[in-house]
Amino acid sequence: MILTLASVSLRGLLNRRRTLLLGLFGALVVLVAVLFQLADQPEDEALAFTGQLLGNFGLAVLLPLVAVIVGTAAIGSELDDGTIIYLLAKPIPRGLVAVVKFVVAWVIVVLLVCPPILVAGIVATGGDPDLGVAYAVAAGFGALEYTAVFLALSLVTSRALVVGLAYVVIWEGAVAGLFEGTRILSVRQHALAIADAIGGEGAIEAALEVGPALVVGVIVTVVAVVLAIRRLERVELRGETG
Amino acid sequence: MSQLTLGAVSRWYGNVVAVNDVTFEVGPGITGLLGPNGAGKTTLLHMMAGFLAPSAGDVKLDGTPTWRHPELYRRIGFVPEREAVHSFLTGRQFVEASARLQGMDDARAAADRAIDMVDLQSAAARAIGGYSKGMRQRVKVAASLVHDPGTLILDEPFNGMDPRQRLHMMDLLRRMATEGRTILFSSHILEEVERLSDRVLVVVAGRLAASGDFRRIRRLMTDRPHRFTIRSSDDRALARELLATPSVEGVDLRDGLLSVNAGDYGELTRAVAPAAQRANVSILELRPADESLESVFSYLVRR
Amino acid sequence: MSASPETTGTIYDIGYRRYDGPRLGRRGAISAIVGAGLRAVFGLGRSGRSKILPWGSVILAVLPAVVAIAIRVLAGDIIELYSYHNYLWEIGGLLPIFLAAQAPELAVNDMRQRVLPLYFSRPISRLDYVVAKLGALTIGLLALTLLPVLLLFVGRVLAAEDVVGALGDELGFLPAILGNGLLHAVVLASIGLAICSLSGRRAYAAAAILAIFLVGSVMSAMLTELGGGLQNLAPFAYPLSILDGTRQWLFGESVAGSPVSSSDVPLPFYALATAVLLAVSWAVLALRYRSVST
Repeated sequence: MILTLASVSLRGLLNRRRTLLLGLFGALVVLVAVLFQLADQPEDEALAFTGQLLGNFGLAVLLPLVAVIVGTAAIGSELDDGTIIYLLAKPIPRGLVAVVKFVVAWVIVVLLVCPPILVAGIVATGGDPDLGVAYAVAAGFGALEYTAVFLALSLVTSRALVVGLAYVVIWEGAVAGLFEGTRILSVRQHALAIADAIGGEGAIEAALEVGPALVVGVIVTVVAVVLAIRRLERVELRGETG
Repeated sequence: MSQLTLGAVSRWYGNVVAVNDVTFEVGPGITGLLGPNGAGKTTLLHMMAGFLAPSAGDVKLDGTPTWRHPELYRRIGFVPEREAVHSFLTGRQFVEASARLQGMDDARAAADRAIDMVDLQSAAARAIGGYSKGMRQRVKVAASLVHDPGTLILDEPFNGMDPRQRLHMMDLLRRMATEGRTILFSSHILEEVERLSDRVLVVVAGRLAASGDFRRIRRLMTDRPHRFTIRSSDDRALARELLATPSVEGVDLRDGLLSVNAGDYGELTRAVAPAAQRANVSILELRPADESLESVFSYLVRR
Repeated sequence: MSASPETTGTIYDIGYRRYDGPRLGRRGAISAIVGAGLRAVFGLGRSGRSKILPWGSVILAVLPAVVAIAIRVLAGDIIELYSYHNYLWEIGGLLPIFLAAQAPELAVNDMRQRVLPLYFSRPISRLDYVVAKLGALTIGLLALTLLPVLLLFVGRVLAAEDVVGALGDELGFLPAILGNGLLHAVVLASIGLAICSLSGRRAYAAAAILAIFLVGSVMSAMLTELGGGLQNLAPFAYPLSILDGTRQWLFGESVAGSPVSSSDVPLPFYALATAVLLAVSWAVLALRYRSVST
């Protein structure tokens, strides 16, 4: 049963066009790393640049973009076209449906984001995997938070994609950068803190300590998933005509 | 088993009342839910299938409320009106997935059976995205009965089907009804409901306007004269005689047909033969002109 | 003298009537689409919420010009916050946001609701339709690419002590202002509309547009920082820097913060890149709308 749920959700999310485009974005990160290698820069520059690449491009742009598109589509697209009814008209607790969709979405985000980041990190540093691994793991954790939040968002508003994008651009981009106190609520900062803790060696500028970042991150994820479960259990399907 | 009960059910969205104090029971056999568009049919069906909560009253299947009781879906099959299905799956995959999600052991065999029942074998291996409207309807029906439910709820199931497919589907539903299942379907097309259902529920503007056998409902409509059309050897002579009968309220000679309006259905049926005898007229054809579901329906809607 | 009673009767034909008056034809149809398009671009005729983004963007785009004029009026010529050539670069982020917010409103709804066959069974060709939509979006974009800079121009002239003399001085900049504004509007409209025509949902089209500009901006910044020859690739990753380079080739004057200024690419290449962008966008549009079945 769970396997079927996961399989249908997986196939629904991985439609050819979307996967191709998102995969392309990942490839771009690797491309920049390759270009960096070709540019033959001095060794000491490599670490700093890689940190920038993986942090500002990988974590700050690639991860949220992929997560918002996949996360809002996981339940959102089926809610939108009404096909969710075929998953809910089954003797399966709706909470289980929500959790399975969350896990599937997270796995897809991880598969689209972490390998490019890892590879880019290795390529840019000329073979040293430390930064790549650190950022890839951080991205995996960030993906948990982002996916959960966007999944819940798609059950709260029908314009989840737009709202999610606005959140990423405005909150993560501008606000959290400006006001110190808001950093604890920024997923990007959580991820950066984790990357720093794993393989920083000073190349990563994390504004938070890893402890609080982890805790807040887990709390956010759990709260978002619980919210998603609750809303799915109460979602009412009206059909097109009244 | 398989008894759907609605007790004083209402559903509103803010100021708009979609369903207004509806009470009825649906048991084994085929029941047609009839109403104009926007009357609240889909709202009712979605409440019965557990996808909408009633704002007031209760909706139960065999005593258990349908809202937030997903275990009931083992016994319910639902065919929604919306066209969209998981178009990236093939017909067989979709029906099989449905079977698996219902927890069936041999999902593949069940899916094959269901696909046979709706006559979709030839297209089952193709992706649903390429199906015609009628095929999509059939695959939806297949998915809804793959787990052999005791209750089937179908929202506008014949939408987009050509006449042959529709006949086939009607046969299927009749067969399932004779097996003791409870089948409830909605439509705004009168012929479908007339042909298929044992019972009719007429919903107008959110209220239940009538329920039961539609001919009996017609008899109950006493504030409207019954209309008959008669073809005879001498319409005018017969008309003259009939006008003398107290129950006749009016006659109409037009287009070679004699139409009679009678206040009392029973009285007229008894008066026609003697009137024809007196007028020395042979009656070639006598039929009730407005005992169709259409006239019942238009009467109810206009009330 | 008594009036004679009416002895004749007539039944009046109040049924279906044909329209025999003048028909506006193709030109009328095109201008109708442009008009409707403009209304969609600025959210006119819809709820207040759909006006926030477009009008907000226009206001934010114009604001710096107003501030600059105010400073000039109050404090004279001490600082020059913006000049004609770097204005569009400075308001950079607003352009993609406006485009991402409004282009989908213009193009995707028609596709989604399958209204296109209705359009094409009227006396307009597919080319007319696309050109009309492009026209509407371009005109809308001019509110951000041309209006603020024109305002700056007017403000500078009027704020000077010798208005006529100032007019004479500043007039020379007018072609560059108009040309640059038009260039940005046309290219951005083409890119935006092309992306929208590829997607069936407004949200995805908006996300795609934002993604391309966001990723492009970050990539070009990174490549510039890398140096070692890569800064020459940098401007081509970001549509706005390609446009900046083209502007520089046409009208001179480099912009400090743009990747163009840190690269050694000969300027004509930017114009070439712009031409490529236009060609690709228009090709996408042509192909997409040709395959709509009527």
